[in-house]
Order: sequence, then structure tokens, then C-alpha cells
Amino acid sequence: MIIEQSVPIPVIVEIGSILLILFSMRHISIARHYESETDKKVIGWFMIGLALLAFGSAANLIKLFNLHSYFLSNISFQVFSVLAPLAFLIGVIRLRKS
Amino acid sequence: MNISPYLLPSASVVIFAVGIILLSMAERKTYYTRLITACLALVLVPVTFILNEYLAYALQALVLLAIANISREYYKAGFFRRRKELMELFRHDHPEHRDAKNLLYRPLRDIETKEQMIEKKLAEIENIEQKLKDKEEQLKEERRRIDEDRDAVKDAHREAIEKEGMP
Repeated sequence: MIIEQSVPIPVIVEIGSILLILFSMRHISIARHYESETDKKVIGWFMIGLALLAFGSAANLIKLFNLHSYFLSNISFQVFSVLAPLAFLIGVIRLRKS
Repeated sequence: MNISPYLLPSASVVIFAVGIILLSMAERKTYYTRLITACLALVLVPVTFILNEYLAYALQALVLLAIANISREYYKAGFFRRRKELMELFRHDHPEHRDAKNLLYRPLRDIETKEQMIEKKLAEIENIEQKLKDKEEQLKEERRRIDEDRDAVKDAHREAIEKEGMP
């Protein structure tokens, strides 16, 4: 486990997560232009969820680097982890209504 | 603020269950319903965190890779669909295409129409000029004939005078 010795796996995963989320958000934001107005709103909620997950990953990353403040370690990570699924759930409900 | 470590995973499981049930009831199966399913799977990461930290990271990485892949496919599908629509638009005589073509070629066509009208008018003018020339020739001929007749009458008159010996 050379990687584990030099760079911890959680750090790689969190950085990778942020990059993948940004990549996904860019592509989805372009692709949603071809959808109807209602579908755009549904996809918008999922983009909000993905953005919150990116913030959660960033907060977790800061925590992993031992730079955590009270806000980041105790509130931010949990809030983002709860808010992102809630945004996804709102998106699913909007999809169901549309 | 002391939050129970089991609160977040429990909430995630509930959200995941509700989301999946609602999604299964959605009639449309498009790229973004796949995306939604993947996003809901991401909700299970905190649950797996309790079981094993590295399992949670593996799940997070895998699901995010899936989301990235679906979003890329979704983007490509949108791009190809738009291109297909454009191809259809230009292949057939679609009203939009016709309007666009009119907008593009109308000034040129107006100029062409005006040029044709000018050419037609010029041809008419040439025709009239030719007619006038013919008429002029005709009148000259008429004039010549009248002169000849007058000369003939004069000659006859003069001959008659010479014959009669009258002044």
C-alpha cells in the first residue's frame, strides 16, 4: 500500500469526488438546455444536491488535513450530508409531480 | 450540539427508500432518471461508513464515477439529438428552415427580381425604339412617295402647259 503511506485514500477519494462532481455538473448543465422547463427544474434540484455534496467533500477534506474548525468538523459535514439527500428527494418529488 | 451517530445514516436510509419508491412510480425513463438513481445511491454512503470506512469511500468513488459517466452520456445524447433535429430541419422543407432561407435569400431575390424587371423594361424600350425607327422609315418612305407624286404632278402640269402653250 504505497499510496496509503504517501497520500491517504480518503484524501484521494474526496479530491476525486469534487472533481467528478464538477465534471458531472458541467455536463448536466449543458445537457439540460435541451429539456423542457419542468425537467430543467427537476434537474436543477439534483445539481443543487451535487453541489452540496461537493461542499460536503470539501469540508471533509479540510477535516482530513486537520484544519477543521468547530463549524467544519461538527456542523458543515453533517449539514451538507443531510441537505444533499434532501435536495435529491425534492428533485424526485418534483419529477413525480411533473 | 450533540448529534447521535446513527441519526444521519437512519435519515439517509429513509430518504433513499422514499426516493427509490417515488422513482419507481415515475413513468419516464430518461437519462436523468438514471442520474437520479445514482444520486440516491450516493445517499447510502453514510450508512456504509458505519460498517467500514474504506467500503464507504469505495462506494462513494464508484457512484460518483457512475454519475460522471451518465452525465457524459446525457450530454452526448443531448448533443446528438440537437444535431439530428438540425439535420432534419435542413433536410426537409421545414417552415423554420424556409423562414431562415427567406431571411437569408430574400434581399438577393429582391435584387434579382428588380434586375429582371429592369431587363424587361429595357427590352420594352428597345422594342419601342425599334417600332419608332420602323415608323420613321415608313414615314420617310411615305414622304418620298409624296415627293415623287408631287414631282410627277408638277412634271405633268409643266408638260401640259408646254403642250397648250399657255404661260
